[in-house]
Amino acid sequence: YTQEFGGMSSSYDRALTIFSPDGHLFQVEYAMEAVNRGAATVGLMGSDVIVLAVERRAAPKLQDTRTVRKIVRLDQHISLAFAGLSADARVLIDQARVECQSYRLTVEDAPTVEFVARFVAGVQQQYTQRGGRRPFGVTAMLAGFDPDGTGRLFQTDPTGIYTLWRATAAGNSSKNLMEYLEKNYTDGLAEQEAVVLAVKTLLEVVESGVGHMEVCVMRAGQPAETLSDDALSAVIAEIEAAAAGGGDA
Amino acid sequence: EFGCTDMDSVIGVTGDNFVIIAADASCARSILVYKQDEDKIVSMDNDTKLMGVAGDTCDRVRFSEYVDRNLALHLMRWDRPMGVKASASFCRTTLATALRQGPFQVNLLLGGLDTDGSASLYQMDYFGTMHKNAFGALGYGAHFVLSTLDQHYREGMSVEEAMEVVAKCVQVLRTRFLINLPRFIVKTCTPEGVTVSEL
Repeated sequence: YTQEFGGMSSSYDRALTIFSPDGHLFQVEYAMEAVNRGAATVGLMGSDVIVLAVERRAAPKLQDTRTVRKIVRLDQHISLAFAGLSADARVLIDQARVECQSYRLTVEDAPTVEFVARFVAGVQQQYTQRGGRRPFGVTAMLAGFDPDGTGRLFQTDPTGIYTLWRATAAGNSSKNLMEYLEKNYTDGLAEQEAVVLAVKTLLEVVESGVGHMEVCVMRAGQPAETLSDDALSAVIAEIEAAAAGGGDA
Repeated sequence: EFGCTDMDSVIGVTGDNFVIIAADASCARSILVYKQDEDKIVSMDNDTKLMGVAGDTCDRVRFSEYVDRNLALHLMRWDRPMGVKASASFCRTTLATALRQGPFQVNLLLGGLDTDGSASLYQMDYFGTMHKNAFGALGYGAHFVLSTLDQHYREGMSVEEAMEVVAKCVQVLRTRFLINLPRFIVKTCTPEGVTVSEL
């Protein structure tokens, strides 16, 4: 086939994941745009916990939302939250779950968070290069504790890279959330401080209320805990009381 | 030498809400005993199911680890454990599919508790034959132990009564079976989890 030269992009760049003349992969970049329209997602490390918090968008009145879980377990010790297309994420999540069990069967040990993040990123990378398929519109945050007890927070994106973070945000208004985190995050947060900061960060863009967010706390050697409505509303109440009482940072 | 499932003696007994599986702890080939502390009973799905497997170590370990991992995968995918019958059907299908490709030469007893607390026990051979029973036995030992179970097993026994029946089975083997089986590992699955003891 022929390709136009001299323009910023040709009609071919939008259909397949091939390079544009100036070195862009437009489909991948458009996938990042899809992620930016997704639910706001925050992940941050405390001294001995990892907190994942995601926005829950309003569902239609007649929908039963019991089964819609935004933060999912990949393995006993690893959880995943994502921003972007839920159906795409479902595919990645299932492949990651199989890979975790496959690793355990072969190696007789739990996989590290990095291993699973690299696997998910590897799948996402393949869809930027081969097969003529569109990329996954998903930025995934993988959080968990390695067998040696070290906590890790990794993030993958539609380009297929994976990166390690102390705190990160994705999805709707992620720029603002990242700025907020860069201003307010410190290392060595205790569990309650970490939860409060994660919720505070989300509250920058999300409506207040337990129905609008889902928060998951991960501790070494323990199952991941999704905060109950009661626990979460207590945190929100504490934040709002502090904001009303004194100035907020 | 093809797989030998005769030399492992495994016994399984159910009550209304518990399952007991006992297996000898000897790992041997011909006249040589490799070890006397081999655990042939796998506890799966957060201690809700027990699987006692008879067969050479390679297939026994390969099969039990494969089933264990797949039950764990189901738990991750669906956030609830597979039922006992579904797990047994999974085992059966695995055995039957492998039969004409590369068989798992194992016989097994799979017992466990469903989320409603009811107990069930399934016996399978390496062809993929499966039967649900109140009690069962594998190996040469079955020739002796099944008549003991026929005589002493009652439905609705308590855990202690069932343990006595299992102890009688082990006693019969130690009296009448040629092969010396000095150690049996016994695992009991109740709603509180799995406890391990020895006979």
